Amino acid sequence: MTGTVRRRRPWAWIWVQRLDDWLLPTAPPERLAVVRLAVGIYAYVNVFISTGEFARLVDRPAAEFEPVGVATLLDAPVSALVVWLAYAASVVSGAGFVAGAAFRLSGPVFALCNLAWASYHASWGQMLHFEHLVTLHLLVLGFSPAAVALSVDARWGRRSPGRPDLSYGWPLRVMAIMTVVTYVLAGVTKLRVSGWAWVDGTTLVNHIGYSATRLDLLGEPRPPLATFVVGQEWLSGPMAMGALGVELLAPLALFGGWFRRVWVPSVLLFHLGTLTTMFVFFSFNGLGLALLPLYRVECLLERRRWRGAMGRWRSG
Amino acid sequence: MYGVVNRWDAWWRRMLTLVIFAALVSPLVRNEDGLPLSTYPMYSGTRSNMSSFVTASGVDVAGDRTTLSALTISESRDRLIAQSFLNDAVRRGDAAAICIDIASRVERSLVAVEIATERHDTVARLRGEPSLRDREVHARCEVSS
Repeated sequence: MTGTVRRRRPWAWIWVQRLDDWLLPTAPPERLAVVRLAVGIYAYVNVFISTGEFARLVDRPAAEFEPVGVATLLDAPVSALVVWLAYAASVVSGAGFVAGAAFRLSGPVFALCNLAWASYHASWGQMLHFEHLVTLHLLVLGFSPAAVALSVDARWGRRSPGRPDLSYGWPLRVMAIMTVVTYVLAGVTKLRVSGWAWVDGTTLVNHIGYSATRLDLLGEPRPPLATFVVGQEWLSGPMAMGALGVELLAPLALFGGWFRRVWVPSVLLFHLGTLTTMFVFFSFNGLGLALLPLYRVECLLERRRWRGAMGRWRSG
Repeated sequence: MYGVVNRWDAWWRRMLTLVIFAALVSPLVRNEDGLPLSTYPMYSGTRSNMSSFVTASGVDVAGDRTTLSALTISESRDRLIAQSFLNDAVRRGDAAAICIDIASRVERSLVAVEIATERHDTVARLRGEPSLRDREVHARCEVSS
């Protein structure tokens, strides 16, 4: 009997190969460009919303300066001129980032300006964790070929139109990993700091009470659902477990399928919950922008999809 | 899957992914909150229903206290910044200084500003019950007319 003997590869090797294929996907340039537009517009609007914060930090006494992040490179607060120059650099490079104009320069500059501003902003005694993930996503986008499509550079022919490629797919995979890891870290930190005590719901109710009281004492309205949730003792345990589940199980969303279909609405509900019970809203996550790398978002550009959706809406 | 030309490209991306992943989880190992790498410790600690708050209140002619807004307290609409502004000042022993600073921004119908630490039962407060258990005034200053 003759024939070739096929060597079977060990199952571990097959899984490593699958993991490798998953880690290094190809994607069309439009997918990365849509994410650039969404994240870029969000960050750019934030620059303008933060104008008052730039002005406020200019006048802060040096004694209050406790540098974090890249601001630890500084021995003292920078001058007002430097703050406003950084602001101007953010405005100019941000416009380039969103439009995809001179992106080889504007991409990295806007990402680094954002990192510098987020660090400097957090260096005055209040770490705002809202800024971390968008800063990380901007760093990936800013140093990636995110302006090959849907950009001024593409229109002016500075970049050749690309086919699906690893260089467009891998940055999105890294951003997706960053998103889910932040949730896992938050969940692990809760368990590490409070143990399973966090799960029974008492801590969550006390956090809601604390947030509402703090707002009361600053003369601001309470979150709309705070009083209701604190009044329903049976609700706190499932809410706490649900929150922890959303955080710790986040990595499964990377593999798509039914878990992503369940996890994404759950995480949006989670952020809606923190907004309505504590007035804490991680807008980058809660608006779904942090979740875009999990999807083939270039389909948003297909006109026939919009036409179909509009047609279905019109026909009721 | 990759041609000869792309093999190097794939390898450095694998390595860089590992480095990024290690950097992301490194705050857990170091147990250190930073930016942009963090353990995301917000709301992670156990919290009692009894909490202390540093407050800034306005006092009117009748002696009644009113709350002051975040903007009046810290010149920022962000309540977290206003709260940390008060906390940090009391921690540094600067309550008297920020009292005068805040008094320059309040309405002239008020006669004084007080910086105090108040202890509240926060859950009782949400249930509509009296919540103030203790109050320590750090600084009181007059509002110049």
